[in-house]
Amino acid sequence: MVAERSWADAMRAEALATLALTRRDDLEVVPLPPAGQRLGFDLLVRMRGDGGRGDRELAVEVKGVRAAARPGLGSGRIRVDAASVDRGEMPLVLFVFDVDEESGRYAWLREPIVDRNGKASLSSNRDLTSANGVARSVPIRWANLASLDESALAEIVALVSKWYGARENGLTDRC
Amino acid sequence: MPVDRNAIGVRGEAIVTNLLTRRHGRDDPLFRPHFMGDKYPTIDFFVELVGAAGSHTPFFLAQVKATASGYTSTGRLRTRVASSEMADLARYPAPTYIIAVDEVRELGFLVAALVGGQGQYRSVPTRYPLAEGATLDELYDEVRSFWTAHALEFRRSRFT
Repeated sequence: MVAERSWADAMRAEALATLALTRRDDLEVVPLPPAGQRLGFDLLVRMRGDGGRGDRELAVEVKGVRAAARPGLGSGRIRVDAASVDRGEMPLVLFVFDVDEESGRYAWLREPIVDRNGKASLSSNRDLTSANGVARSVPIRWANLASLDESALAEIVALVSKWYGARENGLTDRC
Repeated sequence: MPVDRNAIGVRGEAIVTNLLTRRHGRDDPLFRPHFMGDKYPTIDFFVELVGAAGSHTPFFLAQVKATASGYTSTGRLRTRVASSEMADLARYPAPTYIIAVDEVRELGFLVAALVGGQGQYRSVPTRYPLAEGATLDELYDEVRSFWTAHALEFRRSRFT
């Protein structure tokens, strides 16, 4: 698996991610300003469910890989900006798209957690980022990422919604 | 399906980008689309041809009509293109097209906006689907041929 070798892979991955997200009526992909990349993610997703609240947002980092390289290698490296993963205040998920087969996989970079006491927190993915908070290339195996299908997206939305609900109840913390 | 203009714009943009950049077995896509933004009138996409030989970069302009209304009984996509929209497109001295997008099935269909051509569409024909590699090949050849025949060179300016 080779990560984003060309403008085409990045463009196609972002388009495929947008398509997957906008198949749901309750999600809106908000266009980012040209300087949006500085935010540390590629897509900002606003959740329109939950009674039409407009303040529940999910950040999505998007990467594209080529199917042709996958059988021979089985793994590749994807650059993840660990600093941006640590500093954000909203859930952040990584979408990786095979831009030829148009299938996606995902992993949480800042996972929304609600503990048994209803306390909301964000857990940075230490497997995909460095401990000292600098940008680096990290190995990612396609097979180790979870499949991004309709039900997976529903789970992501439900988890994020639950997290915002818990946060609005007043108890927040960072792992 | 979402019906607000922004959602249709973002989804329509993604559908067109996906269709135009599919490789269909090649090393690189044939087209590099640039979305002009929802607020830009008439033109939604400026699209460069990738890898065209010669000193020029051929391009075409496209307006996207996205719909979730489905098809007529004769298989045409239910979206209208007004005569003023066709005329505005045809004013550009470049190849110009309408891309009619089926938001539900994530498909796009191409019709040209020609000077002296069809004035308006009450529904859009689906003869030329962008999902087919053959349509992309023909589009590439048509646009490249246009620029080969009408190559312009910017050789003089006071701002030098």
